[in-house]
Amino acid sequence: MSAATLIPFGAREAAPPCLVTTSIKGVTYNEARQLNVQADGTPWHTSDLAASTTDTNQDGRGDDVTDPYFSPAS
Amino acid sequence: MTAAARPVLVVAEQLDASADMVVDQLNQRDVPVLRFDAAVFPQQLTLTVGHAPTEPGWKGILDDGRRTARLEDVRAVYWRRPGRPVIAAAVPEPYTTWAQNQADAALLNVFAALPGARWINNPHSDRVAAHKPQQLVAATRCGLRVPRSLITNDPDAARDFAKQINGPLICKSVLGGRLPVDEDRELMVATHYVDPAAFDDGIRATAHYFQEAIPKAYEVRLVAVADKVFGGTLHTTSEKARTDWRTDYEHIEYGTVDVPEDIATAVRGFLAYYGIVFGSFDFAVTPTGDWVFFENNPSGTWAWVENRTGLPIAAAHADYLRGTCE
Repeated sequence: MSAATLIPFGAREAAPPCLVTTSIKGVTYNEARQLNVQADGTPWHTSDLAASTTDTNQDGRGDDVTDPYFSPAS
Repeated sequence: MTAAARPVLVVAEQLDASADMVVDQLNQRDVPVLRFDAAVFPQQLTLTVGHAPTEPGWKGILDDGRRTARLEDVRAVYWRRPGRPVIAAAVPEPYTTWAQNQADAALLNVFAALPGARWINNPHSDRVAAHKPQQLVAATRCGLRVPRSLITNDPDAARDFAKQINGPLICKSVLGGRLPVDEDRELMVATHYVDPAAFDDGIRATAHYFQEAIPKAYEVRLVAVADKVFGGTLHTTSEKARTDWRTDYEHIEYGTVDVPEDIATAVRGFLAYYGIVFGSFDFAVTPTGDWVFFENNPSGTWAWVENRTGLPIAAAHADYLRGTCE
C-alpha cells in the first residue's frame, strides 16, 4: 500500500462478515409444492434455519448488500 | 375466472426460506401459485403479452413449462429478491447485457402494470423506500424517535457533532454493501463505535454517517405486513452483538414483544408514506422503554424471526396476497 493511500475513516473498521451456514444437505426443490423440502418430505423452512440478516449462506441474500432492492428496470 | 383461481406470482430465488414460507401458507389456503426466479427468464420461462389499442391492460401468458398463468388474472405479486435474467451462453457480449436489460425491464414492468394486483413490495417503491437518510425524515414525520445524526465529509463538523452529543458515538454506512478487498475476501462495514480524537482527513474521503449511540435494553426486528406488526426481540449477550447484532449471532437470544400501539401506528404511517406494505424495521428499546427507530429494510429478511419465534409473519403475507386483509 503506498503512502498516498487514503482509507475512508468509516471503512477502517471493515471486517469479515459473520456468516452462518445453514445446512441444505438432502434439501431439494419440490416442483409440485413449489418449495424446498428435506429428505423426509418436511418443508425445509420448518427446520432450524440460521438466524441472520447477513449472508446466511443458503437462506437467501441478506440485508447488507449494496442495493438489495435494485432492479435495473426500477 | 373465479377469485379463488386467480394466481399469485412468487418471484424469488429457488432457495429462499421466506418465499418457501409464503408459498406454504398460500398452498394451505388453496391459492394458485406460480413461483419462479427471474433468473430463469427467458430460457425456461416464456412471457407473451399483448396490449389493445383502447382497452388498458396487458393480457397474455406466463408459462414455466409446468404451470401457466394468465397475466390479467394475477391477483398479487410477491417480489422477493429474485436473481437477474440469465441469457443463453450462445449470445455473446455486448448482446448478453443488452438482452439481460431487455428481459429485466419487460418482466418487471409488465408485472408492475397489472391493474389492481397487490404487491409485496413493488421494487419501484422499494428503491425509494430503501435509503436511510430519507427514512429518518419519514420516520420522524410519522412520530418515531430517531438517533441524533450527522452526515458529513467535514472532520470539523464531525468533531462539533461529537461535542454536542458529549457521549458515545457510532459510525454506520449510509448504504450497505461489501468491500471486496481481494478476490477471495469481502469485508463488511458494521455499525461501530468511534473515538472523536481519531477523526482525521479520512472523513473527507467520502460522506460519513455518525449517530449518537443509543443505550439498548434490547433490539427489535419489527416486521410489518399490511396492517399487522410483529415484534421479534434480540437480547444480546456480548458487546460486539450489542453494537451491531449482525456481527455476532452466537450471542443473541430471540424472543417476542408486543409492539406498542403508538409505534405500530407510526410504522403503518411510514409504510403508507412510501406506498409499501412490508418492511423489516430495526429498533432499539432503551432501558427506559423508549423505542428508537434505526432503519427499515423494505425487502429485508424475516424468515429467521418466524423460524425462531413462531410469529405468524408468512401467514400475514399470504392473507395480504390472497386479498383477505387490507
